[in-house]
Amino acid sequence: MQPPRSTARPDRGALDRFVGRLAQACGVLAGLAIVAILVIVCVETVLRQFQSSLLVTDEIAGYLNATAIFLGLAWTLREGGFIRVELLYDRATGSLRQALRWLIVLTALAFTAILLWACTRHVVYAFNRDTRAVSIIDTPEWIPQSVMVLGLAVLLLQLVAWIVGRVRDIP
Amino acid sequence: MNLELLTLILVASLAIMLMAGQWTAFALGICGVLVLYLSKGVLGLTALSSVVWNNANSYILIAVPMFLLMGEIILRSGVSGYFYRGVVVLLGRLPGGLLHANIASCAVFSAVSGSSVATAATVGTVAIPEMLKRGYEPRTVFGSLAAGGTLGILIPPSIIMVLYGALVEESIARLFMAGVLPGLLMAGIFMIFIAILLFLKPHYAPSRDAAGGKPAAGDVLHVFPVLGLLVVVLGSIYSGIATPTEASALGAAGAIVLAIGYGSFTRRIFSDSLMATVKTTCMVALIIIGAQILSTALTYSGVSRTVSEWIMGMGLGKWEFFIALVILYIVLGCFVDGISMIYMTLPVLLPVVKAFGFDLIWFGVILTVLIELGQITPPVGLNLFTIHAISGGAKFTEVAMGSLPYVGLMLLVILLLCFWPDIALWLPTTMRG
Repeated sequence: MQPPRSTARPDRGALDRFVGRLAQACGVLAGLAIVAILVIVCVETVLRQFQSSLLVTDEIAGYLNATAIFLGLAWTLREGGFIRVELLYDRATGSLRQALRWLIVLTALAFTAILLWACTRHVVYAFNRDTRAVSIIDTPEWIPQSVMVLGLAVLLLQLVAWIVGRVRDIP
Repeated sequence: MNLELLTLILVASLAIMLMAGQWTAFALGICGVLVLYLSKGVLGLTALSSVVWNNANSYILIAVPMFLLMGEIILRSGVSGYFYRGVVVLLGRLPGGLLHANIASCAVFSAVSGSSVATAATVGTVAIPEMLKRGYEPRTVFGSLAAGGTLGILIPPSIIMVLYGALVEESIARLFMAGVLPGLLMAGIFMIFIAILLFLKPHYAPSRDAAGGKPAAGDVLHVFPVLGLLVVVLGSIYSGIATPTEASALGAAGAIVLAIGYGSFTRRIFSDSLMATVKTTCMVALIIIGAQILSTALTYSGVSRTVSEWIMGMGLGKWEFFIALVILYIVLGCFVDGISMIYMTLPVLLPVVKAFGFDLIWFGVILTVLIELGQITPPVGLNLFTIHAISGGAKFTEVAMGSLPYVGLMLLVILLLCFWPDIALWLPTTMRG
């Protein structure tokens, strides 16, 4: 929801380049998940006019939505897609700006790490106990939920890459 | 830890995070995690995973990426530009015609795109250079675009209403229908305002003779494809043929068909639209996740109940509470975006709103108008930023001043909705089922 910004970015080192490619690849998968939602929901809507159904549309489309969200996180962060209150941040210069950047990236890192920890526990539990979704295909819950862990891990990597690069230039 | 101290820590940490420029979604989540940890320890943090998963794995919220995709495709394929030209032919002959064309095309296009910012940007990019060249008064131009762009979240399909409906568990189809008449009313009031303004200050717009370059009358046909798409999407919801989620997917498919029809659907445009959709979807989804973490923390720690009881204990009357609420949202809207505003406040305020007996559909419409208002109030108003960015060197204050009258007009709409709630509530009652 922000005006597009110029995309010329300084080189931030090997780790950042690697994370960049990883985030991009996940972002593309997120895009494909959205295409899949579009197709599956349209097919379901048409089928329903003929009293027919795929029966799993709600469930699968929900998983795809989660896939799009989590796999897109790191890429969105890189591209400056998240909004913020710019009041002070945009006016700050010099060392105040740098201090704000450290504050932002470190707290975001702590938050992401805690989420990743909680979600990993959740998925490992689902795997060990073999919990299933209440649906006709009895999806093992750990399979769709793994995208949470994957997406948050890439997001964490991105934040780490910025810290390694001393948060010189974050979107 | 006692609740007063916890509430204080919460408010202080939220203020610091937001002011420091933390991404809003992260700021909400960080404060949620902090409160959860302080009140329930590590055990409390294990609840996070369910909050995160349940807010992403949602069939209702699928409407968000689908409506976004619909808007992006219409926008990037240039279909919206054709549409604006068509509206200009229709309304260009009125005095100050292009100003009316701004409002009307913003109303329809923003409904299709569901995004205020995209609307203001699309119509603005075409309209601003053209209108300034013809001698329209700049502030009036900026105001009409910034305010017109906000109409989209009130006129369905509206992403804000999807999110509100999902949160308070009201029918999104009914919310959509409740937004139609207030949206048209507001567009009408904007146009009446422009007419009165031009009557008092005729020099704000060029005289009809100077309006220059006659657009081809055939351009008027370009109004129909976009309007048709809107009718299909809303019609299928209204008649009950499709749920809002299904209608959103049909809308996105319809947008692709329109773009193909205009011969401007390329792989490039599709992939750009798709990636822009991913970006906005992630932004919206993470705000929801962050805010839901915060709201879970508020519930677990008891802060939520304490604040609700405190408000109830103040002995306010129904409408005194309502006025306080409106003021709260106006102030919040000066700083925070609409989605964060809803998800931050409603978990605490909803029980009170219900206790006072407000209709939740009606309240959703009011809330949406208040969010529109927040988008054109400085210092942080998304639409003001957008128009400022594409204005070609105007001062920010010029844009803000031009938008100021519309703040008053929006409050007028809220007042009308208080006196005649049926403006919002009548259309949903005529729906099937």
